[in-house]
Amino acid sequence: MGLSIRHLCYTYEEGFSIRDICLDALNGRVLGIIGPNGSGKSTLIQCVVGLLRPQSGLIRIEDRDSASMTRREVAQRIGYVPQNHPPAFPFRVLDIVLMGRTPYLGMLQTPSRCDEALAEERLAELGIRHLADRPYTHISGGERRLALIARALAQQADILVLDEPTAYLDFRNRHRVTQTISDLASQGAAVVMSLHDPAEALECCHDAILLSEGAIAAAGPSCEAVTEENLSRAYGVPITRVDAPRFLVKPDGR
Amino acid sequence: MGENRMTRKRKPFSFLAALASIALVLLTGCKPGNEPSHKNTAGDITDQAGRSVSLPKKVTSVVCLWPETTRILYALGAKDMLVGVDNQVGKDPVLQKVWPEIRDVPVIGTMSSVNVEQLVAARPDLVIVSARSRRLADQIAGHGLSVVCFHPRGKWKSFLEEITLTGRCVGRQHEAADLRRFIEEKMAEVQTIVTALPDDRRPRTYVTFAYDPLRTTPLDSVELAGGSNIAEGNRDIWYTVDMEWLLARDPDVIVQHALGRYDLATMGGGWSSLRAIKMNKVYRVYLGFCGVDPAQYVAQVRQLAALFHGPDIPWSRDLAADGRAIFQRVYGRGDVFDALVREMNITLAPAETQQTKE
Amino acid sequence: MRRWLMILLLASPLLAFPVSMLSGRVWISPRAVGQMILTPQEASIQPTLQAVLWQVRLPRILLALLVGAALSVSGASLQQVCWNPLVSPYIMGVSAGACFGAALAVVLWGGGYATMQGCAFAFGCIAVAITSALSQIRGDSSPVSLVLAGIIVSACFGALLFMVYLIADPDKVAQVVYWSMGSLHAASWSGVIRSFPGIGLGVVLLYAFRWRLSVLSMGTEAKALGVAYERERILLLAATTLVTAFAVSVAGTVAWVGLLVPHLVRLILGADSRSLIPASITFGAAFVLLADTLARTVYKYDLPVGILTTLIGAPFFLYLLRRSRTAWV
Repeated sequence: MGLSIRHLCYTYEEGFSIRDICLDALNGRVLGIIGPNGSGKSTLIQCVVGLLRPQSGLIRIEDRDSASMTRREVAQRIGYVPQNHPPAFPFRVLDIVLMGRTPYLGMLQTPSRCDEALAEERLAELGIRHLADRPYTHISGGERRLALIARALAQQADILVLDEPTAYLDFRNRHRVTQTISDLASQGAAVVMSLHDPAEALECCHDAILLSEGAIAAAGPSCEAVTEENLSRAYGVPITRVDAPRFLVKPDGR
Repeated sequence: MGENRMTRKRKPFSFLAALASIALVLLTGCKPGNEPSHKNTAGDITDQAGRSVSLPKKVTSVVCLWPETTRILYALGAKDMLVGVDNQVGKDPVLQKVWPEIRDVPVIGTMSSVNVEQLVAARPDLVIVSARSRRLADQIAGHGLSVVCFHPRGKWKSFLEEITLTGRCVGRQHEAADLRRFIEEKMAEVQTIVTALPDDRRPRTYVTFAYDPLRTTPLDSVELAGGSNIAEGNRDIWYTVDMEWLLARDPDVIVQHALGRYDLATMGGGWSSLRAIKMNKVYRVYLGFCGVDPAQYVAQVRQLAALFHGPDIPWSRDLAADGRAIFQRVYGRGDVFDALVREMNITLAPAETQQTKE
Repeated sequence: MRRWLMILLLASPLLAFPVSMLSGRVWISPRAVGQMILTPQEASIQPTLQAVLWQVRLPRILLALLVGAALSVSGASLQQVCWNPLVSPYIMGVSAGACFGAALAVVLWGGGYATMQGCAFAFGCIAVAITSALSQIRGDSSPVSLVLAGIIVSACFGALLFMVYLIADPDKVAQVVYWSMGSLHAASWSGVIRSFPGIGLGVVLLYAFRWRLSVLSMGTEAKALGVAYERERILLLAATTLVTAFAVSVAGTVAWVGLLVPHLVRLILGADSRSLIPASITFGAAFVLLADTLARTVYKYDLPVGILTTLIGAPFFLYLLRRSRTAWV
C-alpha cells in the first residue's frame, strides 16, 4: 500500500535540516506538500526518491523498508518527475521517455522494441505522441513536463513523486498536467507532489502537508490542513482566504 | 640607474626600488651605475649575432652561458676567468672529465635566462651567451655589462671564427691562433683524402638524434668526412622525418648520436629492413653536447672519415690513438677520449673489419 | 536518411583505410598493395616496398585508428557522464599529466619510446586520480567541480612541465615538445601491441554501457531511474581515463578530437548514446587516420598530427556551435 514515511530526518552540511517527517501516501489519493520557499519541500521529495540518503527515519515502499532495496527496485516502484531542467544534450523526446525503462534493464542492456512500443504508448496517453522525434531541448516547458510524466509512467510504478509539476506553466499546460495527475490517482496510483501555490493543494489534492522550517506544521485532508491560520503561521505573514475572480478550463475541454 | 627614474615616476614603488638599490650597492660593493666606460675599450668586434660590441680593455672575469664557448675558454687556458656558467655545462661529458671542478663554478642561469642579481653581483668583465638567445643578450646589456653572442649555426668555418673571437675577447689571441692552426691541420689531412673521392664512394648517411631516431639534421661533419648526408636543407636544426621517407632513401650508413641509448636493430617499425642495419653499418659517434666541442669535433670528423673509407684513411687502423692525441693537444687529457669511448660505446672500426674479426 | 548517415559514419574507417594505405612518401601502386596482401610470399615485390607497407604504413594506420577511436569515445562518454558538452578528455588533466611524465622520462632516463609511453601513462592516470579526488572534496562531485579540479591539476602539471623544460637540455626538450603536440611518427607494431589491450578493453566497456551513458547524462536524477549512480560513474570515468591515457601515451596530445567528433556525430545522429558511442568510435578513428595521412604527406617534414587536428578541428567546432546554438547551449 503506497508510501509511508516515519520520523524522517535529513541534515545538510550547511546546517539546514528537515526533521521528524511522517506521512502516508495511499493508492488512489493525491498528497500535496506545501510550504514557504526553503521549508524543505524539495529535500523531502529527494529523500523519498533516493537522491538524498536520510540520516534517520524509515521510508516504507509498498510495505518494504527502502533502505534494504536497491536503486533499481526503488525505481520500479516510484516514478519521479523532477522540476524542469533541460538536459545538456538534445535527446529525442522518445529517448527521454525510454529512460523510464532503465529500472527494468540490465546494466549492459539497451531498450528493446517492446520498451519502445511501451514508451510510445505512454506518449499517446498524454496526447504528445507527435513530439516523439522532436529534440527535448526544443519543446515548450509544459510539453517537457508532460514528457517527464510520460517517463515516470514508463517506469510502471504505483507511486508517483512530482516536484512542483505546475510551476512556470501556462494556463493550458497547467490544466493538462493537473488533469493527468488526478486521472492517474483515480486509476489507483499514489501521488505525492510538492506545490508552490497553497490554493492548488485545495484544488487538486486529497491530502496536504504544510512544511515550515523543515518540520510539519500541519497535516491531514487538504481542507483541514490548508487553513488561514496554519498558512499564516507557516509563512509568517497574516493570510486570509478570498474568493477572487478565477479562470478554469471547462471540465470537458482539453 | 633605472631605479632612480622609477622612484620619481611611481611613488608606491619607491620603497621597493630603494631597497633594491641598497641591495645592489651592498651586493656589488660599489655605487650604482657601472656602464662600460668607452675610453677603456680594447676595440670593437662584431659578434656572431651581428652585434657590434666594444670589448673592455682587460678581461679577468667571464660569465659564460653557452657551453660551446665555455669549452673553448678551457681549451685556451682561460678557465680561471669563469665566474659563472649555465646549468647545462656541468653535464657536459667532456668537461666533466677534463675539469671536474666545473661543478664549483656558480650556475647563474640557463642558456636562455639568467639570474640578474647573481649576474650583477658576480661583476663579470664580459658575458658570453648563445647567439640564439639574442634577447637575453640585450637584457644583460641593459644592465650595463658587455655581452658577446657566439653560435656557429652548424657552420665549420664560423666555429673557427668563434675560437679566434673568443681568444680576442679574453686576451688569448696566441693560444687561439695555435688551437685554430692545430684544428685546421687535422682537418686538412682529411680533406686532402676525401676531396679526391668520386661521388659514388661517398656513403649516403643518415644521422639520428640522441633521443629520437626519427629526428635528423644536415650535420656538416658528414660531408667533411667524405660522406653524403641524406637530410634535406642546410640549416642547423633537428627535424622529424617519417619512416617511409627513410626506407625510401635507404641510407648506406647510419650515424647514431652516442648519447642515445636505443638499439636500432631491435626497434621494430621498419628499422630492421634498412640496408645499413642489415649490413651492421650503424656507427655510434659522439656528436657533441650543446654545440661543438673543439677536440671532439675534429675527432668526430676523422672518425667518420675512417668509418666511411676504411683503409684509405691512414689513421683508421688506430682510431683510439688518433682521438687520444687530439684530446691530449686540446684539453691536455688524452685519457678522456678513452673514457668517452667506454662510456658511450663509440664505434672505432668500420663494419667490414668487425665482421672479419667475428 | 538518419539510418544512411549512421551507416556512412560506421563505415567511414573502411573508406579512409584504402586512401591511407595508398598515400605516403613512397608510392605503392594499388596493384602492388593488393599483391602484397593477397600473395605476400611472392618475391616479385621490392623488399623496400614490403617493409614500407608492413612495417611502417600498416602499424601507423592501425595506431591512428586506435588513437582516434579512443579519444572520440572517451570524449563522447565524458561529456555524457559529466552532463557537460564542453568537457573533453584533456580537461581531466590526462594530457598535462602525460606530457609531464613523458618529459620526466626523457630527462631522467634519456627517452626511448617505451619508457616515455610508460611514464606518460602513469602520470596521466595520476593526474586523473588527483582530479577525481579534488572534485570529491565538497562531497557532491558536480560537473563544475570536476572541470575546475581538472583545470587546477592541468595548471599544476603544466607548471611542472615548464620547470622540466627549463632545467633540461634543450635538445631533449625539443623531443618532448614534438611529442606533446601529438604525433604518430614513431608508430610500430610494438606500439600497436602495447596500446591495443588498454584501448580495446576501454572501448568495449564504454560501448557496452552505451545506454547507461544516456541515462547518466540526466545527472543525479539518474539515481531515481534505478542507476547505481556513483559506482557506474566511477567505472565509466575510469574507462575513459584508461583509453585516453593509452592514446596519449602512444601519440601525445592529439587535440580537439575528443571534442569535435562527438559533437559532429551528435549533430548528425542526435544525442542518444546508442548511436553516438559506436558512431564516435568509428568516425573518430577515420578522422584521426585521415588527419595523420595528411600529416605524413602534405609537407616535406613529418608534421605532428595534433597540429592538423587542431587546425581542422577548432574552426569547424566554431562552425558547429554557431550552426546549432539552440541545440545545446
